[in-house]
Amino acid sequence: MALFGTEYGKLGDERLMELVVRGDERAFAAIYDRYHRRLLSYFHRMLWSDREKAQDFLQDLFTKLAARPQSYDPSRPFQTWLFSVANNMCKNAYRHEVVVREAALHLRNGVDRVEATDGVGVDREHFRDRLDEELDKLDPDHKATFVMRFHEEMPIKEIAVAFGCSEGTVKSRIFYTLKKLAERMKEFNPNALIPHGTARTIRP
Amino acid sequence: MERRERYDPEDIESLLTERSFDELLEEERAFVLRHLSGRDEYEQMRALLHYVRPDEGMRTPIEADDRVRVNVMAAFRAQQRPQWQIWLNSLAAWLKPDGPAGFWRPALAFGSLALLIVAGVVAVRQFNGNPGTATLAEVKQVPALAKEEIAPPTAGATDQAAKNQLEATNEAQAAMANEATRAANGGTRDLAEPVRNYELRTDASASAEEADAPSVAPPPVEDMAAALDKDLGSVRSTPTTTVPGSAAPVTGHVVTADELATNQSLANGSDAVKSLGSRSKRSAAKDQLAVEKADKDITVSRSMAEDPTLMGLIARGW
Repeated sequence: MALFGTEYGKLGDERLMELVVRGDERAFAAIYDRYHRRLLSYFHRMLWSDREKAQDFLQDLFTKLAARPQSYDPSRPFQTWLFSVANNMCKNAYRHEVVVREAALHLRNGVDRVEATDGVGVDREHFRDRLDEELDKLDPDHKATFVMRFHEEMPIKEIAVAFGCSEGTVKSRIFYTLKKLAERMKEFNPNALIPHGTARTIRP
Repeated sequence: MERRERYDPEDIESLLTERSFDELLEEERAFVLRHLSGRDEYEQMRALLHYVRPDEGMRTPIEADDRVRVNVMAAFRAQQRPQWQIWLNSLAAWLKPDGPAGFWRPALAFGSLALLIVAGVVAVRQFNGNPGTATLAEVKQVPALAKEEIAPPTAGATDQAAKNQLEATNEAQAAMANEATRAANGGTRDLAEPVRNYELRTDASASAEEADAPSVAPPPVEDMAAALDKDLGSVRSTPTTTVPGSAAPVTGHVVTADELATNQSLANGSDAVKSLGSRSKRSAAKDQLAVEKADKDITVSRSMAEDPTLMGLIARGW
């Protein structure tokens, strides 16, 4: 607590949500400032790299939060709850647009598929595009699990809570997603892909 | 056995992160080979995993437009705004429409409101009157009725009616005087005869009113007897009057207001006098005469007392 007022940046998510429920506008702004980038990135990755759609989803999510902040269960971690809401929104979007996207992907594969170069180095931009392309082909749950795990770097336990499943299910999804991606992206030379000394460890 | 249980298929991520295929222990390698085809697949997955993580960190973060934050904060403010402010804004927008064509709505609404208020006030006054107001109205009515009953007759027609009443009374008194004279001369004396005729002639509804009149407590027997004696004495000592135009002196009596009042008081106790006649043990002749006289006088008095015109005349005389 500061001398005058509250330092909202130092408060926990759950405490901020208590203030939001009471109508504290600055607490709501702090929540937005804390999560809007991550959520926008998540939506961007989940929604076929559509920036405008990702922004619309971000606005919808926080509008829902402003309308019904009491819907948040304080017994759950706020981040987990927030991403579970975001994931449900993405699922609904998938139901409506998966057919259109598949048709667009087929068209895109036929036009500008670029083969990876063997040997020396890998075009990161190309690898990123290929990865996003393959992720879009995955089941929404597997894709969301992969994004949460490797993009948002969320612990297995929180992902499980966000999806309402066991930790074993989350691990299994990650394993089979990695296996499938590796199989589909064989064109990239494993030796060139492995950047020695740059491996990072994510919380289990 | 214990080590195998620790390496579930889902835990292969940790192995991919930590060790290459060549660095795996025998048991770990056996575990990996149960789920993967071989070394190449393991290395492919490991390379992918190692490339994905730093790549995600190296991605340029996406920034949302400022409008998103503005819209979100506006939505929060709108949600947290007090209800009375929302109501006030809607009222202001309603009172100040965009175009002139929209003015009929507030005009119609205010007109309806005014009509409702007027109708409500009228309905409240008519059907749900204030008890205090009703009391005041009764207070005003009671003196007005009493004033009408005891008000002296106005000049003109009222004076003419009073004159007629006075003439009728004088005629009755003259008839009574004639009877008295006749009795003094030896004839049968019947003082009540003209009065009885007057009663039959003037007040046919007296009996009905008497039946409706509330019962009055009878006066004591001794008082009634004294009153009868006094009345009888007054009859005996009736002064002899001279009727103008006649040679013989005429024994008569002009009823004064006091006597009329006495008779009226006796009339109120008529029932008691009747019962007294059956119970009194006085001398037969005296009692019989007194009772007959009292009955006659009472009848006359009662009829006079029940005549509103006569009572009005008496009141006016008072």
